[in-house]
Amino acid sequence: MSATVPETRADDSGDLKGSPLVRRPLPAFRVSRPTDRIVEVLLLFSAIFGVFITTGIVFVLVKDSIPFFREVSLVEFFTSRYWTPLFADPKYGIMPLVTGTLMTTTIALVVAMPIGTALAIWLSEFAPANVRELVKPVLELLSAVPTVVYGYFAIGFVAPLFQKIIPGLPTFNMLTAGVVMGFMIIPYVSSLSEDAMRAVPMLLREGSYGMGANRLTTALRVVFPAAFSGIAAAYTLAISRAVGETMIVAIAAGQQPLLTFDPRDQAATITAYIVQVALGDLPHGEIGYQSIFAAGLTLFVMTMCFNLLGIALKRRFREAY
Amino acid sequence: MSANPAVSALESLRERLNRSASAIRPIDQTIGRCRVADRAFYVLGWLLLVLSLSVLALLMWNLASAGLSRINWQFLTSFPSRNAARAGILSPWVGSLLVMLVTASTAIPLGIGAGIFLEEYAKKNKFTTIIEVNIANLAGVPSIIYGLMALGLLVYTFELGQSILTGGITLGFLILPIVIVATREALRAIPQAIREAAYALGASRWQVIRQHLLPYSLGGISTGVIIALSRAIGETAPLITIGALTFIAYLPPAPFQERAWLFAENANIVIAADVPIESAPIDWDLSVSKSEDRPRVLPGSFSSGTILLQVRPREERDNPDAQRPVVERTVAIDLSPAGAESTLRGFAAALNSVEGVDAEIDVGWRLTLRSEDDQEFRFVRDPTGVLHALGIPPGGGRHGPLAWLNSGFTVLPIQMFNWVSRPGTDFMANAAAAGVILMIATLGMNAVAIVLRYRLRKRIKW
Repeated sequence: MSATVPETRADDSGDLKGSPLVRRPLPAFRVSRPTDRIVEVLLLFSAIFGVFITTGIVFVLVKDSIPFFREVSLVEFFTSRYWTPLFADPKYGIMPLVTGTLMTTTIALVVAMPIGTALAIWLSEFAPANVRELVKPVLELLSAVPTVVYGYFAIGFVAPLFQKIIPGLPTFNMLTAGVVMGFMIIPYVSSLSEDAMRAVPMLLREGSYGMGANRLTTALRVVFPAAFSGIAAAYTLAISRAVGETMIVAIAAGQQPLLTFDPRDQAATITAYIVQVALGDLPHGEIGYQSIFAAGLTLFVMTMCFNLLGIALKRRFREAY
Repeated sequence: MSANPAVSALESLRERLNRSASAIRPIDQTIGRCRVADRAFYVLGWLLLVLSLSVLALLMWNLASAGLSRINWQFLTSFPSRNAARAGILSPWVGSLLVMLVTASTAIPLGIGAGIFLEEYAKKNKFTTIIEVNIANLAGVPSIIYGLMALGLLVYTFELGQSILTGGITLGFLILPIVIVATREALRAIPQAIREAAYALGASRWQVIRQHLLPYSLGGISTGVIIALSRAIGETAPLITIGALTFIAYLPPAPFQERAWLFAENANIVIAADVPIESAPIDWDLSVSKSEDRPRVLPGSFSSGTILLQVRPREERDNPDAQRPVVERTVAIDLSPAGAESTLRGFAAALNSVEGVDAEIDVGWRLTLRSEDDQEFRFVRDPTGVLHALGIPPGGGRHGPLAWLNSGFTVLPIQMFNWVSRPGTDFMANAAAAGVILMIATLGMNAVAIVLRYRLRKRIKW
């Protein structure tokens, strides 16, 4: 046996006394071990870095809101109907900004949810495979367009168009901003919902067809409920996108914080207010300036709620196959 | 006969059969209706698709029809200006490019590193779950929140300033989740057999990753990185929040550039700011630009000259009906550090000579500048711009190789936003032209990513 083992280096002969098949590891491996350790630590660091970012966000939002909330009571913050931190007689009620945000988000969802869901069902259950392969990335371009470009489109094209249809509509209004934002978030709804529906096993569809159901019934009564956890996740993502969207509303919805539920009115959103203040020249340390952190904290909590709702829905409606 | 029970039973049976026959017929109709519903939904899907894509097409047509004619060499090589026809996007596109450079060098190593760790190293435990949930959560945080975080942390706590470095890092954080997810998906697509084969040959874990997994997943990772960067290049809100300037007429210093050079070469050095003059009844826009007969400034030495000061009510910008004229004053400037204060006094005097403005040098200049010899100048909010405009050298000589990181900046989407939000239609063509360039950049990157993904899917068959 030992004769078939290739001759090793002369100084290794001592180690080969026991078994000729046992060889020491090549030097290259020994060299690589410290590298392995260092690399692992570096990779671990980059993985933890995300936690640092989250901590940083929470830290800054809370720390910089504290001076604001020292001067403004929580009661005023949540109950006052006016948001005028930059006026001589400042009022700090976040409600107008929250309603502005929720109004534009609702309008966007009224556009995006039906269209996005129908497109997802169509792509997943009706469209030919080659059409789907082509359409999906093209549709996703809708959300790739920079939002400031959407803002330009809203103010330069959509608003004049709506003004022709609805007499007396001001240039800046929530309807325009909401509708344009709706088209922007269609891909968030359609792509993720389509992924979820395609993940539904073929067996379920075949069972439904076997019972004599047609395509639409199968899609609506079998595939849609089965994929609902994924679709709910898509909806909540779309909602957080709409709530956090900034440039479209800052350009097209106006800058006036008004407590209104009429989509034809103009109204500032939380994000639009932050941009407005950041563009101005308020010095660091004044309450008007600190108000953007309080507004940001409100926005963060709102999106957080929607994200958690998404996770909860996903758990609640999860179907395991 | 008719009273025969058998006959009446037969009658009722026939009646029942007839009834059920008529009950069967609607099933035919139901099937027909279902077919119609299927066809109708099929058509509806096409219609919705056409609708969505026509919005995209309309948007592009709208941009192109207004902006294409404005794109020319002059537009690409000029600084922003108050004159719409003379304005250009030199500083915005250079700013976008440099910010992207910092963004890429932040997000790529961190994102790929985190992706590798989570996919190849992490064990299933609480710690890993926390990291994963955290990353999923970060992906849902609105971009403007990243801006606030950067403002509080990078600008004020770490004192990185409202610089290219801050902007780039902010966007890097923003796209980090996208890069991580792309990396993980690319790694997951590699069959386990590849890893096992490499381990079987005695490779260490890092060797497996570096020599096998990374090369195979490079396509997928770069697709994700390109998509992520295309998102970052269009981001506006976080950069506005950290205080990127909206009007900037100088370029960041090139590596090893002589410090005096910028001042000597730029025809339109502008202090971009809404200068707060507290005692003035209204806010004013102040821009300082060099007059045509600009002094020739020798590298490293500073002479004196004149600056053209343009003062314009801010009210005019917000309200197209207000027709207050732009007031121009020529101010003598002394470009030496010692002369900067008298220059500022000259500014104040010039401002005071404008009706409605009451400026005092010590009132309302909010930002304090400190020169090398510890002289203090209180001035507007952009230190770099002021230094450039006044030619106050923090020291002679050349810029360091990374001096551009600390420079103030603007980016394409901010410039576009600035033009969109001006009243009147003069600047709309400029905004559209900037939008066209932005769209070419974003859609171009997306197209590259789509092609790359398609190619890869075709080529690699495990």
